[in-house]
Formats: sequence, structure tokens, C-alpha cells
Amino acid sequence: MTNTELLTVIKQEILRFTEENDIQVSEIDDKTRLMGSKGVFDSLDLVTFIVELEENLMENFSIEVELTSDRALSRRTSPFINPETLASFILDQIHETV
Amino acid sequence: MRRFETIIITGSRKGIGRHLTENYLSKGYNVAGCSRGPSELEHSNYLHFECDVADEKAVKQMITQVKKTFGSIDILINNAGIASMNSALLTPGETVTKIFATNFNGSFFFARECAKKMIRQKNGGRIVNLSTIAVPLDLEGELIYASSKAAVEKMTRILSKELANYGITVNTLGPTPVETDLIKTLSKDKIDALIEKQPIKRLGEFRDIENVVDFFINQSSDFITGQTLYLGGL
Repeated sequence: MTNTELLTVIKQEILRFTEENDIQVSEIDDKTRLMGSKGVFDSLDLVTFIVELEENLMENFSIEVELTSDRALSRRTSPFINPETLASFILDQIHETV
Repeated sequence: MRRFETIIITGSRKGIGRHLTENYLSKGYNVAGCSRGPSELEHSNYLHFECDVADEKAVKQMITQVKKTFGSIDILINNAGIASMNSALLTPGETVTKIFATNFNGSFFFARECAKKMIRQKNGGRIVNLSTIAVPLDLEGELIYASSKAAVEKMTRILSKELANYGITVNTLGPTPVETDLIKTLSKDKIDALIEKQPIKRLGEFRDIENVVDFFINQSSDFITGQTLYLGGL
């Protein structure tokens, strides 16, 4: 899966999640802030979104990643800042397991 | 809300786990069980995995396979457990690691992975953990076993809060001794002394466990979470 394809999946998943959970967002682009005071998600939404994204990647693309691994949580820059950082983190994990 | 259909029972090869497995198969559930060895149980709705619950990767693989096969995971019964009765002063570090790996880590891995599937299914769920009356009784000789189960009880309370928003309840059952392999190494005197500490003085039976698990996993029990219920009056 390419970075562009993965970004598309992530953004679609964010849109689906925000619609289902009545979260107001104007537009989702590569740099849309996902966490923090100006982010799309509050802390509970973020946890749920991460779990659902992980499951979606597994069920629909057979991509097994651990978005909540120690590595994710100990990174200097959180992988959950925006779709771009998240895609980059997932691709890193995919490449490491190949 | 969809009716609960699929149950995972760890430690399903014998004892309490085997009894619960047969019970829920007879009630029409799909049951996926696991143990470190093969199971003799054969049933069209039963799926057995040879899986060490302390092996995080194996647990993940099992959960993925169960979901693929049965289409949902609605209930988890964290039954697998090991015990070691010994004086604290004579307990090797290796025993401590092994007991916590199975009793606590294993329960946590299963709870976490099943909860992920339950969240995705958006149909709530039930997690039932197994503890022991050795926790409230602070039994001498059971320091490590009781401590690992005390950790399971703490997990129950915290996890119940974290999963409440998803309609997933988490509760613990603390049985008295039941006639299983787990207690067969204990002398009759020790068992009698233990029973003497219970307000209701008898060994537990499978039906006592079944009764409480039935209550916890009932879809009407959606307002009951974070609880630990001990048998025998403790």
C-alpha cells in the first residue's frame, strides 16, 4: 500500500467515524489536527478511532499494525497528530514487518 | 441490539472452563476455547485453539481467527489460571513470573483484544474474569496466586470504567474451591480448614459458577459492571 492510498483510507475512516459519532468537522486534509485542544477527537474518541482504524486495516486490507505499541507511545512526536503522521507511522510498521 | 452469540472461554480443556464450554454449547452459543494442549471436545459450534494465554501474539491470532470464523465476539470468560501453593519464603522468582504471566497478563491480553472487536461491532459485550476467595481471605501459602488474582480484580474495576461507554461490562467471579485439578494437590485437612472460613460451609459446585456467569453475561445485566462477586458468603 502506498502512502497516498493509506492517507485516503485514514481520511475516509476519520470521516466515517466523525459522521457516526456526530463530531463536527469542516474538512479533513493531510494536516488536520486529530488530537489536542484544537483536534478533531477528544481523548476517548481518539482511543476508539485508533482501535477502529487498527481493526479496519486488519479486516479489509490484512494489514496488522499495533497503533498502541510502546513504540507509538514513546515517540518524540506522537503519530496521532494528523493523518500524515499517522500514515507515516503505519507505513514504518508495515515495512518493519515485511 | 443483536443477541449475543459467540463466547470465548480460556482454559476450556478441563475443570470449570470445560464445564462452562459444554453448558454454553448446549444453550446454542458458538464457543471458542483454548488451552495449552489439545481438547477432546468435539462439537459443530466449538473451536479449539492450542494457545498459551501468556503469549500475546498467539492471543491476537486466536481472536482474529475466532472473529473470522464466527463473525462476532460477544462474551469473554477469562477462566485460564494456574496456582502454586507454597510459603512465600520458598517461592522462586520463576514461579512468580509464570503465575502472573498466565493469570494476569493472559487475562489482560484477552480482555484487550476482545474489547477491540466488541467496540468495532458496536453491540456491547461482556467480560467475566475469574478470581478466587483466596483474595479476601488473605490465605497463607497463596501469596503469589492470590496477588495475581487481586490484580485481576483491580483490572476488572478499571477496565469496567474504560469500557463503560461502549456497553461492555467487566465483572469478576471469585469461586470457593471447586473439585478441579487446581485444588487436587491440596490435602483434605487444608480444604476443610478453608471451607471452615466460609459462612456457607461446602465446596463450590459447577452450578454455582454457572449461575453467576449466566447472570453477568445476560444482556439484561447491562447496568452491572466493575463488580467482584465471591461465592460461599465471603
